[in-house]
Amino acid sequence: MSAGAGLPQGIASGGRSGHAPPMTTADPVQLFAEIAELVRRFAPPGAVLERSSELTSDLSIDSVQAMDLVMEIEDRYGIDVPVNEIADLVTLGDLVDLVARQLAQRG
Amino acid sequence: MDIFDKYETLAARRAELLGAGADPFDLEIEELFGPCEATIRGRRTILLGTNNYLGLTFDPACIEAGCAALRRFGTGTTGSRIANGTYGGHKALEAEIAAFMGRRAAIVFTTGYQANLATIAGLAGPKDTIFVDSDWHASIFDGCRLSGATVVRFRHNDPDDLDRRLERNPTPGGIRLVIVEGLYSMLGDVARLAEIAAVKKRHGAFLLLDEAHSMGVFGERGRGVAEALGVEAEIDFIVGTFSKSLGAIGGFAVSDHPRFELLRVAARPYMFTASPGPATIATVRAALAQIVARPELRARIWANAERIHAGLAALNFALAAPPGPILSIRLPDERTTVFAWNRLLELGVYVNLALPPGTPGGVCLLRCSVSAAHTDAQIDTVLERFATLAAELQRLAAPIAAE
Repeated sequence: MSAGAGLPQGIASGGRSGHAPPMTTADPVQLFAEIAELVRRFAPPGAVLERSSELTSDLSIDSVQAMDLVMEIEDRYGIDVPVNEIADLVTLGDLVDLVARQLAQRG
Repeated sequence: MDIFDKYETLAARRAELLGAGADPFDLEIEELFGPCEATIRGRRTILLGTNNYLGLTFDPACIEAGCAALRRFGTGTTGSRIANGTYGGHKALEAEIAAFMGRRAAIVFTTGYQANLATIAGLAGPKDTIFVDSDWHASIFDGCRLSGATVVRFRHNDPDDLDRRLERNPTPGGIRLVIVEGLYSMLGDVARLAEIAAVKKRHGAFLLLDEAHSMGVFGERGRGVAEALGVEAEIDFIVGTFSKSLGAIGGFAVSDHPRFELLRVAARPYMFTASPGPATIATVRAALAQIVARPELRARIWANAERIHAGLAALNFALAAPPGPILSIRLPDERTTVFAWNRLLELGVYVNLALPPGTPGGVCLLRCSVSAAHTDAQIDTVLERFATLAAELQRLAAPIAAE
């Protein structure tokens, strides 16, 4: 049985068809808004997305979906988030901070 | 707070599955009538959900070899390979696997799961980066975690995505290891090995290929997908299992790397577990000899796969991949899939129920697998029973969708 997974139908084309130029976002408010927009595709309709929203309990995003979500984020910003760090994520704020750190590392 | 509270979601989901019929995770095979038929829940059932690709579990030569080894060497080794658990049979099997796969050396492991755990955690360490296909098997995931390496997932079977990620992660001071599977176990699709190998070569990375579901089935000699696609020279390490086409339990890794056998003193899942029992080793050796001596087994599984695939397609089932040893049917949702799985069981057909998060992209699957030992009559019966299911699903489609 597969431990991980590919990606939800419909979202696949976004990652596979060509590679959009990586985006850089220095503004934390804008970064949150951009990531929240991606998270919305994985969360139940009408879910409230705040920094304190817990990925598992509030947004029903399991560990495998979290990895697929991160892949969408990686494509958008042209970064790689090591799988090792995804397991430690609890809230949406943790996710945004992790992406901000990776963007800063990339320079 | 109770120690099992963390599994509340899991427990609720399991209860829901149990409420819908048989327990897919604890189904008892009560009696076997050869490799492809059994009694399950008191009913004679055709098995279309094993990994018995060549049907060798009841091969007379394998059974005789196992019985003889039991009498001569006893029931178990009671120790690990680095202590008292290395017998002549282990050494002989390693030489035979290496020769079969056309490699310098082979190492045998107690299970296929441990083969991945040991090889990955043995090859990669905390300074290294592993690039792994996103449809990874649980044993690859666990091996990556055990290694302590930085783990980067790339999009399933996408060499361009792998290329970009290798580009972004030069990993100074460490090696880069790419891991893919020959035949993916859930959807039954085949790796784009030539393109992936070209990318890894360009970046100077190593490539590990898991041929668990493809060894014995793909390639002129049955070595797997790398042989079938003519790219064996580009693969640095191959991992495989004895529990599928070879009909036993255990696993192996092979390589031409001159220092490969250092894993024997570095890979913990090899060092700290008891070695495979003598009977297991003997049946695997006999099964390997059968694969070499009887290429008609491979011809037969492919012919059976074509027939079953065509029959299911004619019933309008959505098949996830072209004909092959794994034929997965996509169904619209979990409820329909659980219903279909239970209904097939009642009709006397066993397939695998595959649900998220164990499936890629959250799909719900009836995972069927083909055996060279399926007879034409068994395949006819299976397809008749699928036709009954198809008619019922069509009748039920409206109410299921409406709820």
